[in-house]
Amino acid sequence: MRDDRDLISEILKGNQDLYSEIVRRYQVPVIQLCRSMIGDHQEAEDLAQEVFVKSFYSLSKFKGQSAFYTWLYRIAANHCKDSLRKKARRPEESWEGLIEKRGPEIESLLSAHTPAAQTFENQELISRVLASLPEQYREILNLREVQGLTYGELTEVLKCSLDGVKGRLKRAREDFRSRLRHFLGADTSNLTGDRHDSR
Amino acid sequence: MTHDEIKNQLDAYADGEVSTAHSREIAAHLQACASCRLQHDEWLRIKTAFLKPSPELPSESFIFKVMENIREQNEPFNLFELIRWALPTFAVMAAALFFIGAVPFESDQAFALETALTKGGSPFSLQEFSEAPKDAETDWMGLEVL
Repeated sequence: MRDDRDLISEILKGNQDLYSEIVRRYQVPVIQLCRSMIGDHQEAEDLAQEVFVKSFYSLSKFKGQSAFYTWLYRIAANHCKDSLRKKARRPEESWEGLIEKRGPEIESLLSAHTPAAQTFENQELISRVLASLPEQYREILNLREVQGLTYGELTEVLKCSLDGVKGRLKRAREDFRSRLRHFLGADTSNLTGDRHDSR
Repeated sequence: MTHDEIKNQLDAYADGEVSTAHSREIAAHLQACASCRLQHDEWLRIKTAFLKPSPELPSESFIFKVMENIREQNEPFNLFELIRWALPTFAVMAAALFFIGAVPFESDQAFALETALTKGGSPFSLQEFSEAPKDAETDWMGLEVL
C-alpha cells in the first residue's frame, strides 16, 4: 500500500483520481471526529465531505513535516468549530436533559464492559453524550481516545504545548468522569477484581 | 513516586505515555491502591463505552460524492454550455422586446390618465380626451382651452 506522502505528491502532479484513496483511508475517522464535535450524524457527514474537498484544494500547503492525518484532523476540527460558530449553536441538549431522557441507556452502555459502538442507536446516543461536553474537551478526547493520536501529535493538531495537551486532556477526562459519576458508582463492584490492559 | 504523583500520572499511564520504569511502578501501585485502581478502571469503562473507533467501513458513495464535488469545482469555463443556455434566453428576450415595441404607445392617453388620478383634474373620461381634436389649443395640463 502506498503511503500518504507518495499519494499526495502524485496528486499534486495532476493525478487527481488518486485522492479517492486518501478519502477511503480517512473517511471513517474524519466522519467520527465530526460526529463527536457536531452531534448530528447527517450534518457531520456533510461537514466531513466539505473537509475532504477543502483539504484537496489545500494539499499544496501540506509541507510533510507532520503526518498527513494530523494535518487533516486539524482541518476537520477547525471546520467543525467554524460551523458551530457560524450557527452560534450550543449543544442541542443539556447534559441534565439527556440524563433525564436517556439515563437508563447510558447506564447500560457503561455496564456492558464491551465496545458499545456497534448499533446505530448506540452510536447516536454516544454522539449525543459527546456533543454535550464542552467543545475543546470533545475534540481532544476524540483525537486521543478514538483516533489514538500521541501527545506529540496532539500538540500539532491542537497547536499547543505538551503541558497544554496534558492539562486539557486531564480536565476533559475529569469533566467526563464527573458527569458520569452517578452511573459509575452504580457498578463499581464489578471492577475491583478486574484488571485491564493499560492500552 | 508518591501516591499523589502516581494519581496525577494515571492518565499518561493509560495513554502509554510514561517511561517503562514509571509504568512498572504505577502498575505495582495499582495492584495495592484501591482508590487509584478505581480511578483508572472508571476511565477504562468510559473509554470502552463512549470512545471506541467506529466499526463502520468506508462508504463508496461518500468517496464518489467527494470526488464529484472536486470535479465540479475543477470544471473549466465551458463555452458550449454558455451558448446552450444563453441563446434561448436571448431569443426570448428579443421576442418580448419586439412584442412590446409593436403595441402603439399613446402618450396622450397615459398623460391624461395620470392627470386625472393625481391632480384631481376635470373628470373627463380617457375616451373623451383621446377624441378631442389634436390641433385644439390646450393649456399646460393638456386640457382644451375654451
